[in-house]
Amino acid sequence: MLKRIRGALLREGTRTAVLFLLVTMAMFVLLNLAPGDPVALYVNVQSLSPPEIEAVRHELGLDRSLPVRYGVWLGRMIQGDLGHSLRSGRPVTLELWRTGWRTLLLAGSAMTLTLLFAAVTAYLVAMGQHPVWASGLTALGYVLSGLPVFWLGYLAIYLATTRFHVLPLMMGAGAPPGNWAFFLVPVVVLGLGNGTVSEVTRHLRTHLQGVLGEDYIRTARAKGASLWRHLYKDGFVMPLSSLLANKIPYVLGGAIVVEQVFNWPGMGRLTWQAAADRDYPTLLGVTLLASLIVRAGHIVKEAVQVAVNPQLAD
Amino acid sequence: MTEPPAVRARPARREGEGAVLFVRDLRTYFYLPARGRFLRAVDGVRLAVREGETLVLVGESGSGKSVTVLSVMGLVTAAPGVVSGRIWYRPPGHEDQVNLLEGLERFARFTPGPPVSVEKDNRRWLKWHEAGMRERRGRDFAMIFQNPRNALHPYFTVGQQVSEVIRRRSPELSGGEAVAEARAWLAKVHLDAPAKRLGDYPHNLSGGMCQRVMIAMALAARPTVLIADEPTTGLDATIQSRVLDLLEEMKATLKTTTIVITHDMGVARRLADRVAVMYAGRVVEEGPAREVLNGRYETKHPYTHGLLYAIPSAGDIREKRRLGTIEGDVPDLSRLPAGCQFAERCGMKPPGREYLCDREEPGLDAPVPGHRVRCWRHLRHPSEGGAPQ
Amino acid sequence: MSRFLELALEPSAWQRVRSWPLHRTVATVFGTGMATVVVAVYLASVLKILPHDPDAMDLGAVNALPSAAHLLGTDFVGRDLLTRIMVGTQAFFLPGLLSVSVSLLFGTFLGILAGFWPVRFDTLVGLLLQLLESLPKLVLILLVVALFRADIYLILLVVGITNIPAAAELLRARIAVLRRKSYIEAAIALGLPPSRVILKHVLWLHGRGLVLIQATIGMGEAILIETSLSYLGFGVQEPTPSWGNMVALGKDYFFRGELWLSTVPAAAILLTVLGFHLLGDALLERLEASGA
Repeated sequence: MLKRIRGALLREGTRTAVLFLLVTMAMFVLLNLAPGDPVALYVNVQSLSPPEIEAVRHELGLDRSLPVRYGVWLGRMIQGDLGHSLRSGRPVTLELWRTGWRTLLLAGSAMTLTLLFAAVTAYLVAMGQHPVWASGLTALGYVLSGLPVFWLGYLAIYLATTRFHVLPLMMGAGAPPGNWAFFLVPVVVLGLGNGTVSEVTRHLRTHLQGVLGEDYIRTARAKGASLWRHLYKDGFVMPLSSLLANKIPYVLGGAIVVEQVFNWPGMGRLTWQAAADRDYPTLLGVTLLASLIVRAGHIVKEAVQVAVNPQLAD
Repeated sequence: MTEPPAVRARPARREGEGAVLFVRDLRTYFYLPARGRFLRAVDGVRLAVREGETLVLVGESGSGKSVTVLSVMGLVTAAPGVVSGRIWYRPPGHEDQVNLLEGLERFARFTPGPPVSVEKDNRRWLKWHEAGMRERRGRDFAMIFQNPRNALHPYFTVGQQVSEVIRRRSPELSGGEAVAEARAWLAKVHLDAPAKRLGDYPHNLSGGMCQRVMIAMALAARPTVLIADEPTTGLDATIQSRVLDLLEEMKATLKTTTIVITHDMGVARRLADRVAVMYAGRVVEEGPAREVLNGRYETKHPYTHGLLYAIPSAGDIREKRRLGTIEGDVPDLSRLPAGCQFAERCGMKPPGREYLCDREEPGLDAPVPGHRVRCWRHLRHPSEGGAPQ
Repeated sequence: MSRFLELALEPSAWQRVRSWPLHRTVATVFGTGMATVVVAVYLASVLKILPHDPDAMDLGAVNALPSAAHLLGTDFVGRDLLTRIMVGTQAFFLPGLLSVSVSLLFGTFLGILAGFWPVRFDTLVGLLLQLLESLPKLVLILLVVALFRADIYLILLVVGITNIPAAAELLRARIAVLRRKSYIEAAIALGLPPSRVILKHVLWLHGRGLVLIQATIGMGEAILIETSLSYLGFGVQEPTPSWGNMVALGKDYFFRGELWLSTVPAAAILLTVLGFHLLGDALLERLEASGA
């Protein structure tokens, strides 16, 4: 099994490199399609004098041809230099590092919640033994997927502050340690409100129903064996890992809104501020990091699936 | 007009006595909501299997053979499913029988109509029934299926799947002991390099090898009743023959009570002690293999006769004669006619009494002791005088 | 207890619909109803058939709950909420259609390519798919907004482009399944050109379903993205109403306990998106059941 995983990782690693290249190329093209002086993409032109601007232009190689510029830009990036934030002046890499893991924590927990909710609902529907719960949860899933996540956030804050008194009225920056509500409420809001719950549930349910109809499940039943043991790999691990990889982008996108609502100091809020300030280096850094996170999700998915399904090695 | 058949005495035995498994009046229906009709997959089936005996269920696709055994195993989940009947099970060495469909009347009410209607709480019935059947499957009953490559779990090794059965049967065995016994069973079914095969996955094996694994898995449970659903279908012809050799050998050595389902008369010939022929969800003929499968038609159902006649003899092949066929098509199980189900395809209706065939369906009765037929050709209708059959 | 009754005759169309499981009936009725309502409201707002002027401030009735004069109440400067909700459809309707059209047009093209000539195009389409899927939409949109401008048409054009692989994949999968079906092989064996066979079967029989599914999913997504953007402050700006900025405006009142201001537009979003989702899922289920 380890051999299979190693092979999968190698394969996905090369694919990631290729995709990363393509993403950077696409970003670069996008950057250059934008109107205005390309220097403004790198430095805050308001704060510099014309000769300084020219110096920067020459240093960044902006007066050279397009492919050369791409090469220089890419070269910088690989060395970890993503430029400096136009707003704070700090290196983008640092900003990403500071905020990235907070968003990962939020998004990771939220994603787990989404998958858990969908798994429970799909299982109840497919097995058919508790139809009332199954219908109720399915309906709830649909309603949650239609509700705008920002309103859901308001509702959660309102309930948490005024009705349940788990949160103080003013939401400051940062999450004070010890107060679990500070962490849990945004996770619940993002996990249930990111808009993908109904789709994930439906996907999982269809897949489960398909697996339950397979011949080998019938054999397992005829043997009197534990149904769960024969079901969980093909019925849960496989589709959940696929869904994890495919839905990460939506959760990351939702994190932008949720972080703004809860003032959570993560990458999402950074992106929102950067868009408002037209802080191009930061925005670019965020885009690249986001695509790397999504790619990482795919790699995990491949590794898991290859480990579980012996047929995938060939 | 010929004379109706003479009234013959019925054997004094109680029905189903001495049988390990006695299916009585089983009905399994499926509802088609789009057409508002029932698919009568099993429509009043009566079967008995005695200890050590091999009963072969023969019939075309759609005759209800698979659904019958799936109903016995409790593996039918679609609605409404099993609606009426009794399945008496008597393990050898025990005196009394137990009805596997115990409690069905509480959950299902069947009205033969017209119009046919069923009231059933399938969810609760399945929960109730499963509680009882789960214990028996893999212990009292074991089943092997067609398409063995799909029937084995793709994510577990052969060794894991066979040991699982052994551990369930004998939980006191350690993991290592179970694996050792699994290897012994693989050797017993003549699987080459059994020790190596333990670590193989089903997709590494051919169809024939997978079927051997299935057989080993089923026999390792040391079941009271073994059910084989089309064990040779889907395999290459040469492999089919080898699997049949194996089944014959197992039959001779282990003497397990067996039910085999097939549409292939050749399989019936090799394995059967008794044969039951099914058509349109009913048993139309049932008796000792030698009697049902011979060419004479004194006590034959026209359908059985048609099936046997369709197999060419050596002489037929040499002379390049036309193959025998049965005219017509298998009936639509959701639109069954009144009267005999086979009437529209039958070429052997009793002369002068054909009206019976279209009007009323014959019961499954025995003109000769131990050999039942569902045909007016061999049975007397009450309206025809003499003691009713 | 379920009751199964055998009917004597072939069921009529009405009886067949009656036999549908409850969830499918609810989904189809609600979804179609909502879609119709949205179109009607959009047209009404474009034709200016509105109960009030969306900008007219009735300072006598501020933050009012529903009344005879204002069926959905008023906002914090006395503007009629029902009117503003109606006008709010303009923020997403046409851009949403644009997004759906773009993804369908190019998606169909790519899907056919990948389906018919999998050897040549499968890797290309697959790679494109992975590329476009690896970027969170909102992040990409914010980047575009910062680089260019906050034009909702541009944004939903971008969304449409990012949906192309999904539409292509749907079609490609359908073609791949159908190609292996025996009746297609038989038709080709009889000499019919494969392209024509598959075009006729795939596009005609299944195409309508796929178009509808993409359209419903696309519109639902367009609404959510547009409202999220205008909530964040990048989309439609005040005083032009968008359901997103209406929710944002009601924020302070929400925490004071006056939930109405934010909840009305949120409910509009919920009902509309729910309708589209339900309809799309019901269609998808029909498609999977029939074509499988």
